[in-house]
Amino acid sequence: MSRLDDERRILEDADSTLLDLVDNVLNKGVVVTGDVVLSLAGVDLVYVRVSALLCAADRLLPPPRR
Amino acid sequence: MYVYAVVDAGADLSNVRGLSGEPVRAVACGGVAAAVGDLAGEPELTAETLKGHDEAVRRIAAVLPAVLPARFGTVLADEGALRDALGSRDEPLRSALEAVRGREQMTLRLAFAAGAPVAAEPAEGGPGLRYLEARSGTALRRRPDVAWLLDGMGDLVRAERIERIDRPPLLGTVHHLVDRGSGPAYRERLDRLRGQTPGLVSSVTGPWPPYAFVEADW
Repeated sequence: MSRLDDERRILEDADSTLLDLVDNVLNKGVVVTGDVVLSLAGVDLVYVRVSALLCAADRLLPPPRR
Repeated sequence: MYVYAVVDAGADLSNVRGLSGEPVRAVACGGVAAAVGDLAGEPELTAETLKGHDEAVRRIAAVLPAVLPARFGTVLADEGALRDALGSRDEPLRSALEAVRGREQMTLRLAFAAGAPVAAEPAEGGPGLRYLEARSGTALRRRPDVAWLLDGMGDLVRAERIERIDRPPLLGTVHHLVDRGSGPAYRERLDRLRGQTPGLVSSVTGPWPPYAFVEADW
């Protein structure tokens, strides 16, 4: 399956909520600059961004523990 | 001190719980307030904590009409640091709060469908302007099928933000600010309209707290 097909399939997938969760919560919202900047556990935000756009958040992030 | 959102000054957040179940309180910062909680440490970036952040913002939005969500991972030393960070942004934050009052966000992702011809984006102006527009959402907004779809949603939409994604087949992301409670009407309208734009694939999520509308520069 080509990358295009893969991306289209993911986009057509009914549950794109995790993708939008990552994009909204990590890339949007008020930025408050403070004394202490949270280290995001070594995660490259550019990678997170690109991955989020490609809907690969489920591969990037560990599955929620229940 | 972990920041969840910017809210109205004097907002009452009693009984609202944060990411780790801690009480959330409003700290006054000039004409606005920040909804904060005290976490034992810094939250790690996982799917769970991202969801936890979003859920806490939603709990805040459930008791307040106007909420500007903070980006994930904002940790400040104390209330003084918070005032330093927000003090000079009083005016724009208050305008943004007014703009999102009673509203929430729907997020629409657009791609072109398999086999669909890639419609040219109509160009206006000189090469410089065309270059700038191609990088922004303006050109995408003018694509006939995209324009038709988005115009058809127009009466439900209070504000629109478009992010172009230059990675075929992905076209871009459209964030819409809509009245609270109008999510079902939005989805119903979209379902009806997208049946008539076979060249486009779209996926919608929401309602979300208004993450994409924290600056009132639109």
